[in-house]
Amino acid sequence: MFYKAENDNVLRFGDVLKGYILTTPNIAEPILTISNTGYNIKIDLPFLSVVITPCCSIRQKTISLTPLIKLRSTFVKNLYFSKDFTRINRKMEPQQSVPPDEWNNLDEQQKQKRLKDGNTYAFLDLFVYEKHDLLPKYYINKEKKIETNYYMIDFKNIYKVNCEKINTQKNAPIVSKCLQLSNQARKELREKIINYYARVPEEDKMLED
Amino acid sequence: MNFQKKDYNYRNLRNQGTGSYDLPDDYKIIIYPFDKYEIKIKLTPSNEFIGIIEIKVNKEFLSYEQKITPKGFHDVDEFYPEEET
Repeated sequence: MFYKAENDNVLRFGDVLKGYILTTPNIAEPILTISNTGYNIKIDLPFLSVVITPCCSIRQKTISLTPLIKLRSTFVKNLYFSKDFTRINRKMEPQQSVPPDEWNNLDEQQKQKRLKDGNTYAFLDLFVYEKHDLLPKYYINKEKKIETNYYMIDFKNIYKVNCEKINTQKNAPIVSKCLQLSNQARKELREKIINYYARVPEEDKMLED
Repeated sequence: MNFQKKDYNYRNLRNQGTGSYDLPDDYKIIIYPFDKYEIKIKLTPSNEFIGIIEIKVNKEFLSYEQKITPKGFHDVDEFYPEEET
């Protein structure tokens, strides 16, 4: 079970919320002089957002969110994913991470290189939200008329919102809460975002050796 | 049969069981962590060295950072380019 059958009356990590604006600052280049005005802020009202603040840190009128977005249309190329897109949230074998046609086209050296990685994550910055009646369907592939109501979040889209009514997990506008993850799904989200930040860059690894 | 009462004393029976004659009254064993190894050392009650019993790899030698560091990932973005839908 991906979602909890009944929502708790508190805000939690991974909750799907409605009613929070999304702001994206855009700059042409770093603003190093006062005369540089090459910047703007884009404001959207996303359809739904997901809480990325850890449960116990939801307080002091601030929350971190990331918008719920549509899946990549190319995910349907991989039958292993299209049977259940939440498989993208978990570790997988190398052959499962690549569309079958593409895998067959890899030369032996490329296959061996990928097989060496074993059972691990793909798409480190993505986490898929399972289909639900509250989530509208859309065409993931218009040409083939394939519909879905799976959605996903991208950790690269995380932003902060200040909200006067968010004081604590409990003392917050619960009316904005649409869906709550099951404990298992929240655990998977936590593990994946930890993994996203826990990677050590190659250049740092070399310095440690 | 005329057994003495002490013959049925459970504590006596247990103390006289197989292997119980080597109770560590005259030595003690401590585990000494050394680098990534654990060394089991036999000492007298007054901490005089008697000998090394066992050396084994400490499986907890990884640091927290080493434990949580991912062991690679499937770099597959090239197979799933974002397309306009």
